[in-house]
Amino acid sequence: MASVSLTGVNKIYRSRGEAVHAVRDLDLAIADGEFVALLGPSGCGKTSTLRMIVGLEEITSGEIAFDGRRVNELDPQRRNVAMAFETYALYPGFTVAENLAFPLEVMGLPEAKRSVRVREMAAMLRLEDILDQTPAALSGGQQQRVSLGRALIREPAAFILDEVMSHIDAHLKFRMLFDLKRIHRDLGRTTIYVTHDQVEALALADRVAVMSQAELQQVGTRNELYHHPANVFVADFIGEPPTNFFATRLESSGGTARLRVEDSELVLELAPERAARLAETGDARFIAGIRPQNLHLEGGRDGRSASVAAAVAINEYVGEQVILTLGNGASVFRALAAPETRAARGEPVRMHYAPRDVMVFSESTEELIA
Amino acid sequence: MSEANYRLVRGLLLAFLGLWLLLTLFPFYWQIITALKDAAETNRTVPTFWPDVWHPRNFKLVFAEASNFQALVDSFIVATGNTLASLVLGTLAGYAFARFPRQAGGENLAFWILSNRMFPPVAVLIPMFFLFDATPWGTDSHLSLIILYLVFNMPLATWLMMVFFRDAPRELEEAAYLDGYPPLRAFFKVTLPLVLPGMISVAMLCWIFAWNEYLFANLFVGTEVKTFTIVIPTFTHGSQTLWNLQMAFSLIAMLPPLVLFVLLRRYMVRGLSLGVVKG
Amino acid sequence: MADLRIEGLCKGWDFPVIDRLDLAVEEGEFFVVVGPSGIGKTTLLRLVAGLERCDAGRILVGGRDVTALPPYRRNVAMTFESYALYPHLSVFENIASPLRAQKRPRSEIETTVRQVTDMLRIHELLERRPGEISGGQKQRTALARTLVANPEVYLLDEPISHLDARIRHELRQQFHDLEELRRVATLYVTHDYAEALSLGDRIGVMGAGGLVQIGTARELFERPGSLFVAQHLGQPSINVVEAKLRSAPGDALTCVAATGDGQGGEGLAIPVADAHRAALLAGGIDTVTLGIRPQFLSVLENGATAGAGAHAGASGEAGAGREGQSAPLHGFEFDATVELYEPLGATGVLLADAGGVPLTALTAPDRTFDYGARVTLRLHPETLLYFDPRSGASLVQ
Repeated sequence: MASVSLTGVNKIYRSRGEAVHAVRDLDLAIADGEFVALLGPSGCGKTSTLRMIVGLEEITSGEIAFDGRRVNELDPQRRNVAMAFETYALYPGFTVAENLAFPLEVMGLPEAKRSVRVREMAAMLRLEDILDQTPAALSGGQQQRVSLGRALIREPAAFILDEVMSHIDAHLKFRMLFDLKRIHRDLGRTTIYVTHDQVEALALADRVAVMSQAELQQVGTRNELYHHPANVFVADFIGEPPTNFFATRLESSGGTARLRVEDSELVLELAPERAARLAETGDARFIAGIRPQNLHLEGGRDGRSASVAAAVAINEYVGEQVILTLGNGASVFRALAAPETRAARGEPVRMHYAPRDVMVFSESTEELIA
Repeated sequence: MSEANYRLVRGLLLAFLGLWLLLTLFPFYWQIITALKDAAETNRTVPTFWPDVWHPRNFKLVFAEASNFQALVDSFIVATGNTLASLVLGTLAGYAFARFPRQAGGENLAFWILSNRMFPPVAVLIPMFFLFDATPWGTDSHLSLIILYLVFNMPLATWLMMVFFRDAPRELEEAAYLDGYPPLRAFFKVTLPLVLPGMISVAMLCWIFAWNEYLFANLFVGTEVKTFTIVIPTFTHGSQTLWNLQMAFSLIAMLPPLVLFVLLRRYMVRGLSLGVVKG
Repeated sequence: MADLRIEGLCKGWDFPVIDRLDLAVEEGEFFVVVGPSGIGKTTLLRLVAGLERCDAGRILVGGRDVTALPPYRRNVAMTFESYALYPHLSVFENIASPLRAQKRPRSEIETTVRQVTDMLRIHELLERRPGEISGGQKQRTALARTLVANPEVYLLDEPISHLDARIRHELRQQFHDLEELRRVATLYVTHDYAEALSLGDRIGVMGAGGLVQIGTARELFERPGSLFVAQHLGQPSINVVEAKLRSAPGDALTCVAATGDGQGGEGLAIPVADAHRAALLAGGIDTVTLGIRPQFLSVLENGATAGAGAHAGASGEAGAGREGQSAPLHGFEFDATVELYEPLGATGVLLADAGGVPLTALTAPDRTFDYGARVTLRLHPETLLYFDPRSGASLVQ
């Protein structure tokens, strides 16, 4: 077990004279036993970061340390990290038990000890019944569990998971999420989980590091990311359906301040202390964001003192809820409603919200102001 | 790995690469300086590593006989003709093996085609000679060599093209069908452009083989048609080998493939890696 | 403009993938096929496109039998899961491809491509190559290529599943808005139930061999015909509990949930709603498989109702279903122990143990539950689904 720290890490790929900055000035400290997710869209630099931690990729500049010891020059084998892959990478001719035992065999562990460990791992991952089968006979979820088991059985210093759930059917995913969470709780091993799926990252990790365009955007717990996103990117990337954004202009009259949305009749009310903070910036234009979950058909409670008028453009019934796509002038935004909602195209509605749920970002830096 | 060890390994590696470079470049160096010596200097018992007297006239002398230039033209005709034929046949066959393996005769037929390259060429030398002698155009013609070299180049072209076609996603062709293109038009619209880099690489390989071939050319042609490879050994004076002229002529003969390579290098590298990455 | 009819379609390799499948997609209808991966959804599309030959059955487009026709003569357009854009051609040429195949005049090609790309907002990309544009833009390019073809049937294979949430929602909106798609028959394949429910005029759930149930989104989600359908729609997926039917005092009927493998726990007795009683009694069976949707399980704690958290806004989608206008009578309440709780941003998922029966419930995202805490769960018996334990067929409709 180990803590992992990245200090000023850069990765620059050079090809045909062109330099591509894949990871820029990354600082990240992962505590011993912590579960951290690296989250971001494809091409954001998360995979390069992971490959540098594992030792599959050279570090252009900066330092990676395990337990305070610099590992930049260490070979992957000597870093004692275990990795499970998106593609499972099981040995096809071997049974599940043999696949699990393989890393121990490489370490030179005697047969008797090996089988004890294999049995322990199989019990933890619900693999007891399929120990004698070969990977070809297994379902995707089972294969993934075997692959996890093979990585974990070495008792590595850190455990690294690369998009391990992207090929698992949605209805099996929750089970797997719970399994992983439980394993982490039982073993308490430092875990770094790389994914592009925010649901997985939020469900599993103690802290989530959001990356975009080679840079770390924010590190935080799920609540921090959801309620206090550092910038427009994080607010957009975390949460589904995505946050509604509006280009707005600050309007103050007689002590109250409001945000007028451009090209529509929408006006967003602001909580007084926020209005003061906006005024302090001296800017006139801001990006306002409000989550679809925070726009309601019913008002009057939970601080929903403000509302906006809009017309229904699309009513999407998705089982547990209805997603309303609404329009007002040139603004199009989404809201969630109860599954009984029947409002049809063209129907006028009033959406209620609490002023404190309006997030305001700087137009120039896109960073959260209030 | 410690810093000192790292330096040592790096140093050893560089030394090895330097040695390797020396070994590969020496023949070229020798070829060039020999081409610039006079005949007497090439035949000294103690060789000179730098010409005492520069003799660039060698490059003019090799064309004293007009037919020598014609030999380069003949070689060019044979190499280009054979390359085109190999490409057309190899591309069609490779496509068939890649997309319709069962209808095209399966792995066995594909392997049999490749196996044609496995026996030593000398083994078929004599039968081939009689076979071509019986054709209307005889052995001493461009056509005979063009067809003969197919024995070696077509299997190569077929196999490489098969690999390239396998790597070209079938879905793109299917998308073209759904766009409304019948199979032949879809092939030219989508599939062929995708394997074009590969085709250029294959063309280079075929062309260079045909350009450089000596054994069969020496036996088959020589009167009506002469390739440069059989002209080179004729630079002698009595029992004396005129090394300087041979080297000068071979240097000239190296130019066309070199120019071709430089022109097509960009495509060729792409083509080769296309095969390597997914093969 | 035409409809699509599929009659007795069969296709198999080592085993049957599609077995006597019948389907009629009307002109102007957007039909979505949803099912687990590897079940044969793509095979179905490929059969209709003519990329695979069927073993038996007929495919009719606008009454015309196209079963024996090659793909380029069927007048159908298809998008591929991998987009299948031609890497060596510009975005413009990719989109123009079907028009070039039809040998349309140059000016017409120009205008048609402009129209479609303006509509899909990719007009500034026309000179780029597919390798130089993002996933969402590739998807729109692929969509544009199928739209210009002006076919009689659209076939769309997982067109938006691999995209980020924002683009996915944007494209979903576009599918709703595109008039072109509403004029022809569209067959759309996905493994994402939310996408299916959102987009389909009608939806077919695909199981082994063919379509298990066809219906509108609400029909499928609220009245699934089988356990398979119920399990496939919804996330987290529906709670499945084996239970025995017992007569209770009076006219009542109770369903007693078995406890996993019979070890520990006293089980869970849930009353059967009046509306379901007759149908269950008529079936003459004593064991059932219960389906309980996680969002119909309210988690009460310290007398608080679900969705009263500090950030109450986020509770709307989870709470409104229960607190809505049609709340029936009284819910049935029972105790459970918290096993695991996961706040997922927009919702929270609670895993609880009720007398040995494991249950998943959906909550507001910002509540906290400690491991081992006792909570009260409430459900309305009307929301329960009953299935035959052997066949999986629904017992109550």
